[in-house]
Amino acid sequence: MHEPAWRRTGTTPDYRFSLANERTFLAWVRTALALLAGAVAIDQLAPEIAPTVVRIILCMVLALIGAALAVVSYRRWAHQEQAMRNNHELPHSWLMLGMTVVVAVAALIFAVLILTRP
Amino acid sequence: MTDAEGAARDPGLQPERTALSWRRTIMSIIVADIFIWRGWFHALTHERASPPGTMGGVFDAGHSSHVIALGVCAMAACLTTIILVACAVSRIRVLHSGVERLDQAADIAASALTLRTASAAIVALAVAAICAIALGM
Repeated sequence: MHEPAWRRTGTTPDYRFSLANERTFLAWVRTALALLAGAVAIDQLAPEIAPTVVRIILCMVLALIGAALAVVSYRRWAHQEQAMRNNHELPHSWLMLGMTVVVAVAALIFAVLILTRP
Repeated sequence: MTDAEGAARDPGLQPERTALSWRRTIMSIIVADIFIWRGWFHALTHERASPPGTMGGVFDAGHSSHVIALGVCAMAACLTTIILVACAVSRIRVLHSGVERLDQAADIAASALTLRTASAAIVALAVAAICAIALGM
């Protein structure tokens, strides 16, 4: 697999910007890993948190969001680098708002489940 | 701080922060791994505990197919971790070797292939986690 064509366009950004972009990618990857670990941990450590089907669906949704986030974090990294190479404005991303909503909704659902647990 | 001081101070820090970021990522994937492995060990001990002849479906808890399937998930999780660690090791090596010649080093930035591989490893781990959750029913 070769480097994508856009990596030869424009000018190579300052190494500090490249590395900062890489660290942001890694931070999103860790967020994805936290979602995965959380999904499996809730499934195993809190089997009584909800009826089995509800629990499985919730944990699978969390794991699926983790998988999607891993893909989105790579795409985000590529788009940021393309913008830096061609001296464009950094692209706006809904990722932060999206993940804020995801985490808030997940926290709310699990808080309700914990409070209403028999 | 003058520009000269800034140039003298910065070089070690940028690669170091990025290398530390990779290390944190390795720790995160190991945490996710441990839970998948825990599910497998849990199933192993339950297989021994349950009496034979009481099993229903092939992938129901207690059946050996269930244990083997969870073992496959655990192995897949282990493999994704090895891939991510390989990405991290190659990146950390580049980051630490380029410290003296940062401004000339065009190749200090991560290759798209490395990050794509890391991203794919996380997706594979997610598949293993989803299978482990499905088997835990």
